[in-house]
Amino acid sequence: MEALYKKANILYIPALALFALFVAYPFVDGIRIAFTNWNGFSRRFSYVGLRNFVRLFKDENVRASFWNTLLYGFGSTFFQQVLGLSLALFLDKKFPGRGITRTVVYLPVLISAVIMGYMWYYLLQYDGALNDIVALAGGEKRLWLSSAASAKSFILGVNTLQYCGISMVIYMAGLQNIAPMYYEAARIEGAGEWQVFRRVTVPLLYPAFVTSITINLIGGLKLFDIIKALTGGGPGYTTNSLATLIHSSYFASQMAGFAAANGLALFVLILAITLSLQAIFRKIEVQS
Amino acid sequence: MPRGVAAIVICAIQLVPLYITLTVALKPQTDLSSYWALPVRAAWSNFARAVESGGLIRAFANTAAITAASTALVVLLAAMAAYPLARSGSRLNKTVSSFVLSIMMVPALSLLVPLYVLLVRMRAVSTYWGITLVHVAFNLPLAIFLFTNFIKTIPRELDEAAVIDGSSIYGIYYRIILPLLKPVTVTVIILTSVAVWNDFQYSLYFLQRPSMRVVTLSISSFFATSGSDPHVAAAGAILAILPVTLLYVFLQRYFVKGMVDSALK
Amino acid sequence: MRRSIAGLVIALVALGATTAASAQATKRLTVAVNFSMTDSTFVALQGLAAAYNRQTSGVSVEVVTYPRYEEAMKTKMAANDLPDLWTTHGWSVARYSEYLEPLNRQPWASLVNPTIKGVITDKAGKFFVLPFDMEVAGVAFNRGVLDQARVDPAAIKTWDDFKAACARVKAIGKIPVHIGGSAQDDWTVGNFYDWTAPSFLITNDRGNARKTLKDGSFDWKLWAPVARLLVDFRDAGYLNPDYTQGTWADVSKKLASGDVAFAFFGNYVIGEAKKQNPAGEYGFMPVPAASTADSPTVITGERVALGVWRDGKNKKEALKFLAFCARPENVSAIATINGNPTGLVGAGYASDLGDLTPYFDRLKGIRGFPYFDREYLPSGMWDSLCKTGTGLLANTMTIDQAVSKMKSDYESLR
Repeated sequence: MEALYKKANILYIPALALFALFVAYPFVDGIRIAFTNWNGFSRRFSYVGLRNFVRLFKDENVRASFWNTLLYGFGSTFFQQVLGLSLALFLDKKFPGRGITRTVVYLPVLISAVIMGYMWYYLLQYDGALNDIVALAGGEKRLWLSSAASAKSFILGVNTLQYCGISMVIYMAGLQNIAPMYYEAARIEGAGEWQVFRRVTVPLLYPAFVTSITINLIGGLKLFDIIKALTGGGPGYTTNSLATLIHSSYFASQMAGFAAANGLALFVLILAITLSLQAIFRKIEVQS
Repeated sequence: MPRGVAAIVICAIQLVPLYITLTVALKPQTDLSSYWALPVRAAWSNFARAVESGGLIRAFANTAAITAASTALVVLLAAMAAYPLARSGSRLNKTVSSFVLSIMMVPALSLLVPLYVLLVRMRAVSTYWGITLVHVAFNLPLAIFLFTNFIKTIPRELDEAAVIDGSSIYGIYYRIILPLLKPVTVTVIILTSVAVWNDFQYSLYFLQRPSMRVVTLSISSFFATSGSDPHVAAAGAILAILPVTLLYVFLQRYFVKGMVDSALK
Repeated sequence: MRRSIAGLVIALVALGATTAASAQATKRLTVAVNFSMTDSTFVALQGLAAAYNRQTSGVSVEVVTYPRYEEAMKTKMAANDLPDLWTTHGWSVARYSEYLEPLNRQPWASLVNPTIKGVITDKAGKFFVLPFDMEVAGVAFNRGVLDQARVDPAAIKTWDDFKAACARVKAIGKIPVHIGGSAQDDWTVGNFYDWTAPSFLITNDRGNARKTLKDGSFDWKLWAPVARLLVDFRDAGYLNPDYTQGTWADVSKKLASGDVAFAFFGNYVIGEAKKQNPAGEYGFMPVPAASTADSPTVITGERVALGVWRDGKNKKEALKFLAFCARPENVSAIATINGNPTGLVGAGYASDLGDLTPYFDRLKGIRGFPYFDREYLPSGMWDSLCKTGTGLLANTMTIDQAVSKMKSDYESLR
């Protein structure tokens, strides 16, 4: 059988060819650019050795963006799991309005993140919807995107709300796939609500956790559109992720070489995180 | 009843940005009332202006064509590629699988300029086939991942039985595996087409002729640069999300089921 | 399922075939401009193209804009794949000249307005754009608000005078300066620097940094007073209260509604304000000096200027279209829309400056200086101005940090 399957390998050649042309080749070319002082558009440039990589470790903005990337990645993944799982548990039982709630929570997933960012902006403006409420309550209007902490919370929050539907839907299906007999068996053994959740629900939801966390984490670490639409990386440089920093150093600051080095760093970061995540998942799987 | 109240609160939170955008879209620029307030009289002219000055009709047609083509190719290529990857655990195939997975992690931005230079050399900038191939390349990994996971759940005994009946490996693939892929194909179609429909980055750089502009580009040009009218921009945003929203409301079962089938093997 | 895949593939092929079929016939000229589609300048240029298309056969001129225009143009330069013509927003020499056709031999070349000629000419004496108009700008204001606050703009000579005027405006409950300031529209803050930095570093003939900024020996400690002016305005409450989230659209809206006295933009801000409140009285005054030892000045620069791609396949047609654009009626029309003097001078070249005429008349003897970043900073530092500006406004950056960021970007971009 194995020999036969080997013959089927031909079936992935078209896909690989496409990857070679549109991903691998530009990727390698990008590595070359990382060793230059190219400004991104001129025909003139020279090779500058490791200078761009040295700068990665020295530049304050890279450091800030690095931590922000982790914050956006792990932060939204965490909140999406909490929200997604709570919503799934909440919607697991039938009640009037259940279908609509599910529809509404999942809806933002399908909206372009740039447009979602613009829509939220109407709320967060100084004369925006959120401040109308503040004013109505007698408070002083606030600049929601003006401090680093507040702006980052909104980026995290908007991203979490927009995509928590993915986790919800995955967990809902996971819950439905758990046969009632497991619950019954646990109850017969005298387990309480919490124990049923820990001993039955969580382990049986394991595949759902893996998928949901992986999808959310990769998305969060690459976060770009929402930041661009809400804060553009500002005020100053405070809310940049590595992805938006790459963009602005490429195009605005005209440091294409530095941006390419930055791109490699982001790639390595995401790769390292997802690989270790997979290793952890595998370990858990083996243990249980 | 608290369950119902909670449900209403949850829905309200998710719908607030949409509601606000809608009220902004329905008010003329001279209306300075709170965004929460409904307009006294709906200013439909904002929508007309958005369609006119943004060339939205053409943009919708372009987006639909590119989305359909990219999605078809992604399904075709991913369904093919996934079969050997799901079935044979050879070292080569494991390498290929992890290569495909790692592509998912490549931040598009790190490739933008070399990719652009490549497309120019191929004379593919501002062509439908150029942007389509780019979309296919970057949406394939997830599709392959989903197809592979799905095929792994199809018992190998089916393949083995067919071999005994004298089928070639391609025959097995075509007659046994392909027909079983329907559920996961729905998922891939939905995920890919939504991703392509909503794409902003690639289209921004690779589709530069205005007659080829896609929806997200039209909308962002309302919001970008000087002299824009936030009310017209809001109207444009509403129009842009309308098709996907409607499709989702009517075909919701497939949207959700697709996502789910892929998640749980 | 197999059948539906086949159907989609056929549809794809058909799509490819139809696009290939429609790609022949007339030559298409693409004109890329940095104005959004709703902008009056865009509409006017589109009208120009339509008029040209009606009278010319075999050529079809299409005016386009890209969201994030500058970024798009940089990618296009990287790939040497540019539009046939494009607007250069002040960067025809420093950024685009490598890709632009020199225009010294064009029939209209001798007509370029001498005031702007220097700014658009490179070291070798070549120039690369047709300037439709020329920005002559100072601080724009709402005359009604100033009258109400009993401020005489003509009497404002220094930043101290200006601050005193702001105090009076604030006293009557109006907003002295609308800076914009949001991170998306951070160019509004960059523009503030372009307006204010020269008064500290450039305009004083008896002591300035013109040379050191260009040769790289500039002492960046001198940037601190420039940064401090912005912070002073904020701390004194002279800026719009939403100074970290105000948009460009807000600036003209509030100027038009009579809530705001001053705005640090070119006369296009007045054009936008007039659209919203035609009855408002607007004007502009020279930018104040840093001290009494110096005098107020104006900012000059290109506004709408069109160049031709050096390696373009349609270069000949593009130059013909440019010659059409250079006609008196066309140049004058575009300049009038922007409330600016024409970029070409001679018989028939005149823009109607309308209500702004008296303010232009008052500029006799006032010295003009180019946009600060275009002339004195390396290309790529515009973003540093904008970002350090929003950082200072939001207090996520101290003046020292802003200075050192400017310094390090200056050093790596030179």
